[in-house]
Amino acid sequence: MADPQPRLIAIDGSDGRAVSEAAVALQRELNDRQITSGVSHWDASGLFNDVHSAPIAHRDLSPRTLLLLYAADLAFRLRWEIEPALERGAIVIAAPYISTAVTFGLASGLSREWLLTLLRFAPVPARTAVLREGQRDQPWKRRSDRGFGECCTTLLEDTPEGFARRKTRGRMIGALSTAAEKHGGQYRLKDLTDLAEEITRKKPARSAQRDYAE
Amino acid sequence: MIARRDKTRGLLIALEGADGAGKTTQRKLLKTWLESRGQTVVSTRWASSPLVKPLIATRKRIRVFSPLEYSLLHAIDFRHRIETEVLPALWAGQTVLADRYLFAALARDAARGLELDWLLHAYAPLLWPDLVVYFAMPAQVSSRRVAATRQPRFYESGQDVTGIDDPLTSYRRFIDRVIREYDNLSTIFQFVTVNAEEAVYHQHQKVRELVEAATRRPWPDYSAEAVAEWLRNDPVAYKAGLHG
Repeated sequence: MADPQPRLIAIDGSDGRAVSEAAVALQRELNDRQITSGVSHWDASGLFNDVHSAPIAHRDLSPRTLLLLYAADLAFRLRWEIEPALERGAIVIAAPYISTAVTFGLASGLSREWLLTLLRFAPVPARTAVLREGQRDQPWKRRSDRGFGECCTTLLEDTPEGFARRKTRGRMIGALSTAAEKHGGQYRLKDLTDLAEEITRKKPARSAQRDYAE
Repeated sequence: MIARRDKTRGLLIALEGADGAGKTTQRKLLKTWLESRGQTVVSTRWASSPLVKPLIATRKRIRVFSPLEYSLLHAIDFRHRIETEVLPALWAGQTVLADRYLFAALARDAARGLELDWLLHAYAPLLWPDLVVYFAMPAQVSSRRVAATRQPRFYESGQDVTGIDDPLTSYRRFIDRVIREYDNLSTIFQFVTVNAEEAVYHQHQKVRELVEAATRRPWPDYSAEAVAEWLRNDPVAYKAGLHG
């Protein structure tokens, strides 16, 4: 089958491992259909890893600083992974992408306007798949290498102020659910076959240009 | 609580200008003078957060920054220092001398082609200084002074955006853009200008006069969001504020 037009697909969610697994599963589905695709994972720049490796006394971070760090990592991923792959004609699965950052920021009390303006350098994806997450009262695990929310938990819990990880994650899942309504619903792992089918069609089934500011 | 603390907090003084303008010399002289008058003074320098400095240094060495990444890493450094050095010191009544503050980033990043509007947003919420002293000089003077002491480094000379191999030639072109941006900012944000070509002593006299006349830019009117967010994230300061 001929490759469809290069396209950026975002997979977002609060659970870092689930986001990574969904990206790999979608890539497998696309490979099965002989479509070239690549995955851009969180912290490709190594910035979060470097911050986590710093002496604990220096790691007094706020949610806003963590969002700036996310933006810097995303700028790196766009330059070195996402844009070159799109130019080569591949489908790129960005996991996570903008919605993960925006909803984490909203859950942490930051303004939507600040978050959206900060991340406006990132192109709007053709499709955003928000993962379905049932249990809102499950706190993040302290696993700095697992995903953005988990890494933030580790970093913020080490600060003198601490971090309400259960409450923040619940709020983030709520915000993701709202975002999913704009982006065409939430996905489970088994729904990714449908998403792969949709991507293989020449024209995306839903609007390709969604304005996050809506 | 913010309004109450505003009466006893320290002053935030920003020293801005191109390389070679003498900001560090004036900062050291000012610190000595203020301390001789019994004030506790904290200095904060550009790209000096103990957390972010190594991240920037490593990536500068291998020259991997795009203008956007360069800007964001410096915004992280700035935010981290505001939250961990500047605001705690001001809250405790200490004077803070910033050897380059927000405007250095705005001038350099705008010279690299980033939009001023986005830059102001990335640095928000802003903690406005009470006094911004801008050490003004022409680009040629900056180039001459820098060339007399050292070879400018890759990003300092703007080689990432000029594409010029010779650091000094690149610096001359880049600093011209930076100074133009600084001059624009100076008009917009009403910096107090000191002629950086005058003798160090005369500059210092002027700086002393400016600092003596400086008044607090009211936090509730200018910086309420930045201070409130810091207090929300820092319960120790918050409790101190309630009782202090």
